[in-house]
Amino acid sequence: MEQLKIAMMSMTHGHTRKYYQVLKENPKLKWIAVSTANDEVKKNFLDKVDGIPCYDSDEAMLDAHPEIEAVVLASENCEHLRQMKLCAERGIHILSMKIPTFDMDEYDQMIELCEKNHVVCQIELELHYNPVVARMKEILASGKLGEVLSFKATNTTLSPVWAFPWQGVPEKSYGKRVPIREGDSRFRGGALCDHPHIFDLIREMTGSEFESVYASVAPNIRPDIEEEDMLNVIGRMKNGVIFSLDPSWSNMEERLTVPGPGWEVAPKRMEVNLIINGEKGTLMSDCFGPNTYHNGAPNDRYTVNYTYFDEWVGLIDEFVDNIRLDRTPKINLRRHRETIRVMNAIYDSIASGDVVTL
Amino acid sequence: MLQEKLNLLLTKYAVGTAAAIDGSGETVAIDGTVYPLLPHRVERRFTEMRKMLTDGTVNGLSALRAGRVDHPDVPLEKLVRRELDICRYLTGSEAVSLTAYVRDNRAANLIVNMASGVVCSIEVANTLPAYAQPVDKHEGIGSQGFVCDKVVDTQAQQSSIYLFAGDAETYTDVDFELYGLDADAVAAVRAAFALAKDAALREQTLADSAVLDRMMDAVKQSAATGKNVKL
Repeated sequence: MEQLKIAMMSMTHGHTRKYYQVLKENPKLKWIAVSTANDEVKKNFLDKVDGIPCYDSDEAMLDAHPEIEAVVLASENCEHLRQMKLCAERGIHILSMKIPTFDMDEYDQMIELCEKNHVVCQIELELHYNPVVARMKEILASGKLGEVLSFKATNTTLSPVWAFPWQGVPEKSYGKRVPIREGDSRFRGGALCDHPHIFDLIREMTGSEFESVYASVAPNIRPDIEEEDMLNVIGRMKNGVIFSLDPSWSNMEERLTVPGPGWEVAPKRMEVNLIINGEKGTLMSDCFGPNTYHNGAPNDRYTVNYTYFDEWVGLIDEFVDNIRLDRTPKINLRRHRETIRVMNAIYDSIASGDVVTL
Repeated sequence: MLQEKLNLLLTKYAVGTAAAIDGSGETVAIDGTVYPLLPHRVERRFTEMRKMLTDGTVNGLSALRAGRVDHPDVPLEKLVRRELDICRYLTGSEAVSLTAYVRDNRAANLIVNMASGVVCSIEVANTLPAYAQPVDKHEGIGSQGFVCDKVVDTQAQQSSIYLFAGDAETYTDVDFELYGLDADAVAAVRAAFALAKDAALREQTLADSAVLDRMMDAVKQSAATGKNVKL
């Protein structure tokens, strides 16, 4: 299979660094260039990666490299529509970050753009390529649990806003400034916007769609950020499965501007744990464990050190195959639209204080 | 066994009140009145968690996560009631509203808003097969620190002793005075003993039980109507 000529844009997204290794090592790819959104991320990139041309604008990169076939949009959410237009109109395939946009009109424009220009647009929901999730799906399919009754998932992390400041700006994260609820000084755009994975995973694992949701925000554990950082969501799927989903930024961090050792205050920086209760028993999983543990430099704190993080390997393999074999990505714009709609309904539930029926 | 251990404590500490604990460890009869036991309130992990949440070790409590998965013979209502009271006990606050989803009396998920602003989430189910130890976890998240009754990066309860000889065996002994009882039985006896020696606590327990009755009514109402219920 011919190598896919790929580039990255902006480099401001928290997942940017995850691509460095896979873009360099995956034999299916040829990494052509990057464009950076500002001098700071340009410096961070050049400090980490050698030998890849780096441009100050997306257009300059695309003009200089007409051979580019696909782009990873490693950018803040508010940039996605502009960059999608730029790529789709040139016939360039797109790997979008996990939130294309929260504006449903914009979202529909994205669908139209990609379909009209016949480009692949795959959404980066990397848990689909996690080995524990793969095993969970296999166990569920085996029928060992019987009919699923309830589904619990956590997708909790530290807050990325110090290292990736756009995530702390409602207009850049949520797309506009919308108060979280009447009389509250916070705005949409925080932890919920960072963690769509479990809202997608429950659809996949239960084979059903959301029927109703109820959500509540707790007081921020970081009172100085203007978006929500602690929330919980419960509800019911159309097939009767009840759920509890926690997408909080509940794992406290040091306020590093560049992620690195010592980021953790809470011992584990990210937890994705699933508990599925069925008629015949209970299935529990930790998608990122067991691990190794240390209390070494720089802060002498007991810290969980992850032992595997290879979701991007499978994700990129599928992306290349989708382009070369003309396949529709499993997580495509149309499928993901419902997840985004549900996340907006969760914000609506927080605002109204009541259950929202979908 | 429970009564024998309770008598041991009553005698040792010269508590003259006659107290009869029922065999399942759910109630104690004292002077003709039957009192419900709230054994989690004397369980050491919860008393320690509450201490850390109130003595400045963990500050700015924002959210409490509570969950338990137990066996099918444990009524779901009992599981919900216990976790609701653990939320009250650990937060030191009363609920102002709750929303509940219940599935077939086998699983329930709740969000409970406390007067203090703390948001509690509760997930319970009675789906565990008989051979499995009940699984539970309680975690308080604050602006300065968190407190949890499980080891970081683990999912199941750890034991004090693992014996790998013949059939594998585990032991978790938590109380020297009541040696031989498991943690749940220890908590039941300790709760009964606490009531036997403290008349004010007996009155408080009846009041707590009445609050929990109202909360359970609200759970049923929310589950039936699909609405958030104010308390």
